[in-house]
Amino acid sequence: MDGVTPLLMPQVNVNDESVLLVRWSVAPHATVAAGDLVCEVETSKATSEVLCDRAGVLGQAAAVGTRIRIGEAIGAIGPSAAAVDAYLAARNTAARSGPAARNAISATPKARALAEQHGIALDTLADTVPGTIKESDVRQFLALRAPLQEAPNKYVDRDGPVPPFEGAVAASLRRSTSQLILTSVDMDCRLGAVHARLQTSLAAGRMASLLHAAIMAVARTLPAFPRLTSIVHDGAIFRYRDVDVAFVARNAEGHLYTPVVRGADRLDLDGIAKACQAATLRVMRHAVKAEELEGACFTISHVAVPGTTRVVALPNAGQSAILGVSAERTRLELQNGAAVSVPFVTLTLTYDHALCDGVYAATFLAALVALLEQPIA
Amino acid sequence: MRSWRFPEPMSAVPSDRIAANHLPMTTRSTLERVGACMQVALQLTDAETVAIAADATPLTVRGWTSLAHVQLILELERHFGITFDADDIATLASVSSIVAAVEQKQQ
Repeated sequence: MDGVTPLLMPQVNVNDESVLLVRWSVAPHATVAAGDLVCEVETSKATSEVLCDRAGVLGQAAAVGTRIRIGEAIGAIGPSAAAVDAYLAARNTAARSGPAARNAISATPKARALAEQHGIALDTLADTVPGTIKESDVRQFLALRAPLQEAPNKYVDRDGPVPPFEGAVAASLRRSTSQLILTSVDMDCRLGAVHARLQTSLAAGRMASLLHAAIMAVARTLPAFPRLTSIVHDGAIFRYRDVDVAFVARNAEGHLYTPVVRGADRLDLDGIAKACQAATLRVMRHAVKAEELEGACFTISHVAVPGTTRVVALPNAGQSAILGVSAERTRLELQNGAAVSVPFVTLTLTYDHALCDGVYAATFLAALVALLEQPIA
Repeated sequence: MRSWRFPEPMSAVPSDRIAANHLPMTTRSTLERVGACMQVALQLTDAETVAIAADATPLTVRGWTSLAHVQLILELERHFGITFDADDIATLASVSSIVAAVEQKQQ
């Protein structure tokens, strides 16, 4: 494995202790030159390009969609594919051997104590420090990391860094919504017809939910409202070609993902339920791929927490509108002279006023409600 | 982690419920273990768990929502040491289909 060295994730943004690997820009075992673009990563501020600092054959050691710590190896560069693969295999074996392997890292007691004090894994430094890790090496690593932020006022204490995932989501929303003029409009929707259709599937052992019915109805309504599937870019309006609708899924750690149901306007309720359930399972398994989250023209967010009356959601990056669906409630209505309990939800459309106005948005909601309130095929 | 148990003697459980005696022994055992998984994933009480019929669907079990269904699939995978195909899980929304799928994967 002579001549093989790890490719380490550089500090692309001083505020981040880790970044999200968005895509590899070169094929596995590609021959690269110094200065070549090798991958793109998402920081809390923007997407950044990572350039190669030397020439050779590049072996990849990190999967798209995973978070990479600053200083962590994302691959290795060497004279041949066989050499880098052998190098990466040896690293994996060492990593799998657990605490014993980490204890085998040569470091002075002061370096170990300082690293532990700051929560730094010594194997992070072992990639970059030849020989025994000394206290000065740890201090140098600390100096390269983002400094602790000053308190914004005297009444607050620092409670730790923003968790990387939440930071990345917030940055993405901030970036997308800063370009939009956001406003919203509400409309209630009775659920009698939806419940009847869901019961048909559920009684037959096929999972189906209000979210699935909402995705189907939205996908069939959107084509008549192109401004809701358009975005403004560089002084022009661009419209999505396909009706790919995303929905919000939350994993056990509370991380939000927006998997996309492709061609939702061509699917029936069972087809949408199948796609949503499969994507949600991958989110919960931490196995969702980056390409599953791309390219939607519209998003639906259903907050089913009992008592939720209105969900004002924010459009995702690259979109101009999003539908929030509240929890189900009931109200009394007078029907043929008798009071009847009617289940309903409130639908809230948040949209870009640069693309359409309130009448356009309300007309979309009226068409959507009309579709949901009639028997579903 | 909560463990599943019968809160009442087996003889007191109606014959068409989760401890149904007419079922083959292997199926009955799988059914009981599926019930244990449902209790964890759907956060059911002991009484609700015992009341799960072999032909139960989300219409008859409290809390069996689409999100809870995914959590149930994960609990079944963990409990039985099996893996479901993600594209199949939407059609496993009944106790009988889950029992059949689990037993097929265990063969």
